[in-house]
Amino acid sequence: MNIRTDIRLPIPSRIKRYKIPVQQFVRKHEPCALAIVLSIVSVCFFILYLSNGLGLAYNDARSHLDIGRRVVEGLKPGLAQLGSVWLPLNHILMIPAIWNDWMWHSGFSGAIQSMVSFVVTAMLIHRLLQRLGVRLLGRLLGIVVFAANINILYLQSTAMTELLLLSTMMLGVYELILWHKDHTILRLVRSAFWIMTSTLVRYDGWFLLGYAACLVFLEVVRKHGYRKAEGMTILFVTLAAFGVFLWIMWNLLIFKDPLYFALGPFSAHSQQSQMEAAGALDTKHNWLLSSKVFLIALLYNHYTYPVILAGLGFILLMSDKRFTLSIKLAATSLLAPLIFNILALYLGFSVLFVQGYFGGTWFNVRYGIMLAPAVAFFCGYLVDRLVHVRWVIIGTLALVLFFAFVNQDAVTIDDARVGSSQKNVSEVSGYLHEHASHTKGFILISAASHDAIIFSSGLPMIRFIHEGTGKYWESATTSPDRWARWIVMRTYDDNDLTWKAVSESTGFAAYTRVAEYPFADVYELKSEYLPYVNTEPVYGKQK
Amino acid sequence: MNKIYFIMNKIIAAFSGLHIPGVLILCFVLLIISLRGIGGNPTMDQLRTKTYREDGPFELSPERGRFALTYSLVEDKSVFFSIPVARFATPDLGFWNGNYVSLFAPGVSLLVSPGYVIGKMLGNSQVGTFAVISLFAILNVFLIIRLSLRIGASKPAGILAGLLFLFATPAYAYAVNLYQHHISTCIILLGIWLLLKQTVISWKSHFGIWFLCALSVLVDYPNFFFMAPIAIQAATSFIFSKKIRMHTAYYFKAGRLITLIGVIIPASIFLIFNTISYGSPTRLSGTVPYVAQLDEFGQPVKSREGQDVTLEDLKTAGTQSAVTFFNPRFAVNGLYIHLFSPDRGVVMYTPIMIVALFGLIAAYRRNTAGYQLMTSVILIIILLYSMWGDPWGGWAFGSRYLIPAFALLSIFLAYILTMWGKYLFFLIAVFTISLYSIWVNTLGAITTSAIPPQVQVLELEKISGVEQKYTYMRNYDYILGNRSKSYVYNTFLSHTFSAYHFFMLLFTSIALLATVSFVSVYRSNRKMP
Repeated sequence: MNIRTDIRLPIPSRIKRYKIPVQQFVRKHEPCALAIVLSIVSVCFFILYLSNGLGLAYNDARSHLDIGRRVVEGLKPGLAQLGSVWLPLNHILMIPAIWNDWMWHSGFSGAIQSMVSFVVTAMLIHRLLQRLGVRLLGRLLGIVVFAANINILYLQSTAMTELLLLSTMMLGVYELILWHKDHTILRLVRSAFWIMTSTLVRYDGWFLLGYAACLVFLEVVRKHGYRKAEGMTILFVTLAAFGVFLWIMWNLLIFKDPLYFALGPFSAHSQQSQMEAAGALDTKHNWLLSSKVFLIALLYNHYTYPVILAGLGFILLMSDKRFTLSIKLAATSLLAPLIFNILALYLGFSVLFVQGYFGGTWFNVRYGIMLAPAVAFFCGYLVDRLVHVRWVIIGTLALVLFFAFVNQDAVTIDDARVGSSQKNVSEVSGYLHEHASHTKGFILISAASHDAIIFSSGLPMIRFIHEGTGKYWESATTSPDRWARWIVMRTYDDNDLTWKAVSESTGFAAYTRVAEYPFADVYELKSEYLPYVNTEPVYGKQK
Repeated sequence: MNKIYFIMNKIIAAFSGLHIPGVLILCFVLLIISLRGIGGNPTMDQLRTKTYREDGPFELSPERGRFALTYSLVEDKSVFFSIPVARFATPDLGFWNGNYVSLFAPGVSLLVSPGYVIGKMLGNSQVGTFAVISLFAILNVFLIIRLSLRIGASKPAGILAGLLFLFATPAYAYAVNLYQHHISTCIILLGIWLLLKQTVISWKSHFGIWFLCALSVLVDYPNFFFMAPIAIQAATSFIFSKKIRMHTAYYFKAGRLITLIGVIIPASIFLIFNTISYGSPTRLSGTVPYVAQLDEFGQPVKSREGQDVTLEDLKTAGTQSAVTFFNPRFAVNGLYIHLFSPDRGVVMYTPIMIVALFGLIAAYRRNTAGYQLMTSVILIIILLYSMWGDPWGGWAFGSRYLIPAFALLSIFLAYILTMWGKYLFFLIAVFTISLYSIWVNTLGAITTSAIPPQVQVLELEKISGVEQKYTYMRNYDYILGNRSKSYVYNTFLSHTFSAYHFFMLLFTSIALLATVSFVSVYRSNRKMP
């Protein structure tokens, strides 16, 4: 029996009547609307993490901000403060905003690049899917998979380098894939430019440079033979590797060693050597463990299910007859971070701990986020391809994301808060803030070891004598009692450059240890020596 | 030789033409033979003995917890547990407002109550209670066969798929035991059947679907998510379109909203139960504080985490949020446990379900009826229980949480058997995998479900001082020790032959049934043009 109470709804028929204009409207304003929505999301999450204090939970985030600040403020400001440990682009981009105290201490000067990168990367995923013929639903899903990931939303709210790297790499890959499609020389140049910028953000970009160069060479060889391939590859590499060249030159000029960044005392290599000596580098020369550890980090960063879908999407794309072999090969460049990270773990250049699986704590687990654009892209493609189950995929993804948000599941926040990347220096920095804020005098400290303390103390950079302050550092480590009212260092630790230098000086006897904390101790000059200590900068502008 | 061949041919021919009720009766007989239990109408004092607990049908807390509520409802006429009942239910015992309460959704306990009452009248209250679950299992086989036919599978393939679901997956072990899985499976299959049985959904089907949706939550809370795709599809069928001249008009069947009254009865029971037990209609059972142990005076002394607790601690303790039980962080481990682990994995316990994946692919290509609906339910089950903090399901046999997914996968197994059933090589391969799966699961059904997770085994070995097994080999050792939990074996057959011989006899019977089914699938496919 059918109950005859059907009511006709007038609205859907109106939608149908205006179908073409609506479609046109959506097509025309889709990128703009998405950019606005993504920007709002970006700002909201920045405010959220700023207000709950998590925005600067990563020790590295505070160090990045200090590096940028030292360029514009301190006892020896200047570009030389960019240092050698981290690649410089992130810090260079901070310079226009870092002079402002709020922008420095809120982390906004570092986060703004991540926020812009977040919007750019999401838009690029959308755009790339569009250029490969993926329809609206697939494109939107791609964006959702990328943007509705708390790990991404957290990293875009901090002064870390991951999002900037993702956007520059994605820009390079986007242009590279489109070059494989239309072979326009301008696309190749653009791709080379963006890959060059990525080589100035993190070393992952260097691997992409090599991978992309191989793809360019292969493509031209296949199409036009060896001679042209050689020329095109040189053209591509000349621009794409310019950043690498600059960095090597920088190291040569400033540190008198072109490979200082790789082999210097503060390099990752040096840190990894110490870890190896301590028996904490089991992934070195172990393919299986390296792959397993990175794969788990990848799954943790993306809530597992999207990675499975992306894997399926990748397989389907590789078997899609609509795409040429060139495009399929070019699309593999999205997976370059996967190969790079496993290789880095295998070679012992990188270390990654995943609590519960390997290492007993969290460390660098955020590296798994490097594949976020690839995961989002392949998920978007999958939804477009599997027409019959697209709503099944969307629904199940929504379920997983719902639980991720309900539980605030973000492995990157755990990495920052409780893993080896965190450093709760509030006690020691609080001491400095309380005792040094209203009292004149310099603080002798090693920036390489205690950047987080410098940042968290809230004191201006000009109050600190560190390794990058030239004559001040040389003088203070030789005669600390003439220069430093306070010394912050790890007692008996020769890895702390301040301790290494000061403990052997005669002036050290003029200090009393006034506070002891887990990460550092504070020494204060005895009152009888105070009249002889310098409290103002005297050296003027140093080279 | 010719005579044997002739007889075999006759049997197979008879089976090919066999009516579905005949197969269901055969299955029910096999289930009754395997049903776990001890005869008589045990009192609560008897139920707390080792005979009923470790050595009997109440070896694990989920069975005890649900039976405790049934017992309390029927014998004590109360949702609050008396101290003897509370002791029996530990360590899965709740505490709220000064009363000991159930930690499980009440649906299973309510549905099996008639079995308890009838069993009690026949002098077998526990066996009668457990037999209700077996009835649901039979109903599931019937629904699998019907749904297989609906998506285009042949009748022999549907029957075979039903048999394989029941006897070649952990569904067997949980069809002879007091767990929620077969009831949940039945509700899901019924919901899908109501949606798929006709092209246009009748108001009776709509009523039935809403009733089932509400009932499912009463049985087990995660069913809310599993029934969601069914509810969504039912709701979207309220709207239909019609082409009028150049444009399409959309209609809303407002009258169908009346069918939503289907939720009233189960939802009312649910809300009333929660109000009485936990003081609020929206407070769920699993969210109240746990009590793992009572002292000699019936006072709580230990929490689930093994910490000391007092009555005052529990009175002031708050509730947990139910949604935080599922976390995507657990999915890496959860998926491994459910699919690949030696202690619970599908690969180890029921590899026949892997064959069903081919059916999923084949059905996708033809976009068979209900494909989206069934795949979404399968995926939600797998994903949700992978995100569950305890994917092992405590001490259990196989991946018990995936039983509803196995039922749906069996439908696709029927589909691929229909499509590829003419290839002898394929059938032989599937048959071999089936025999292995039947062997493993028959072992589980008539022995024990108390298989520890691999992660607990090392600790257990330290306590017991002996090597502990965490796969179905633990069940094999159990049967070699001449032990079985089958009511029929222990009551009537234990003096005639050993537990191992009983197992082999049961396995051979099921294997024979499967063999005949395979042959009929092959014959029916060969007949197809």
